[in-house]
Amino acid sequence: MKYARAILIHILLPLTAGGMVYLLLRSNSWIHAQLFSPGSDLPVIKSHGFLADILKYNLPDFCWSYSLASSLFVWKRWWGEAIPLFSFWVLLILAGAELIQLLPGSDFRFDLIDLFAAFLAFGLSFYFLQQPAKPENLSL
Amino acid sequence: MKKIKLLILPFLLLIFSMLFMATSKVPICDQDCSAVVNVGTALRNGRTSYVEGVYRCGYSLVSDTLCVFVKDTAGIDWNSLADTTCLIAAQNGLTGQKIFILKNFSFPSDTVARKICP
Repeated sequence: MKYARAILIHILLPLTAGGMVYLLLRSNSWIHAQLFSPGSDLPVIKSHGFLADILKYNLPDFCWSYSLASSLFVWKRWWGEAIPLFSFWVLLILAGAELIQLLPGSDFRFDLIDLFAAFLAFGLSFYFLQQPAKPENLSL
Repeated sequence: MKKIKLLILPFLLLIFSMLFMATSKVPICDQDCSAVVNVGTALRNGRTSYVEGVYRCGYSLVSDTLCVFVKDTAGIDWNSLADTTCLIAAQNGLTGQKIFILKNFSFPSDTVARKICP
């Protein structure tokens, strides 16, 4: 039962929130071009500027990173055996997903704030799901 | 059971990788996109205090509509700004555009001026 709660709160909820932000705040993205026909007028919240860009571009990435880190931590708990340096591998995957965008010729765009968001997502997920000092985490 | 648990891990990574690919891919900036970027740069020149930027409206990557996002600033002639946008758009090869001057962070959109360029 506790797994169900952890999956809902720490994996599905951030993933859904990130998806909603992505669909409602952004436009003209690759996925919008695939999903919507030209001329579609969904209730996108039209906004631009620094804060709007944080919400539109960095928040969904944060949600994705948090959800991925949480799913890996929950999986590790379910697996039940010690995996050496597991948290390090999780951090490496999250940071790697951002750093790989630095590769020349990639279709992606590296953003330092996204990298920061990945570290923040890892820290929060670790705190809520993996930190051994929290007894409730051990009994997940 | 152990095998199933082990199989879940690559499955998880695959799902998240697909989401990453779908949402991180940057659309190619083609000729129209470059023109829109140039219009935005030219329009913001000297007007950064109230013009946030120029973008294609709606969900399609290419359309004949330009949305100019502005800060809610008193004393600005928005119709004149729409005229200027038309002029700059034409200079960048974008003729016959529909121009919408929209207040930033407004929902639903608050249009302060609109114009159909020649």
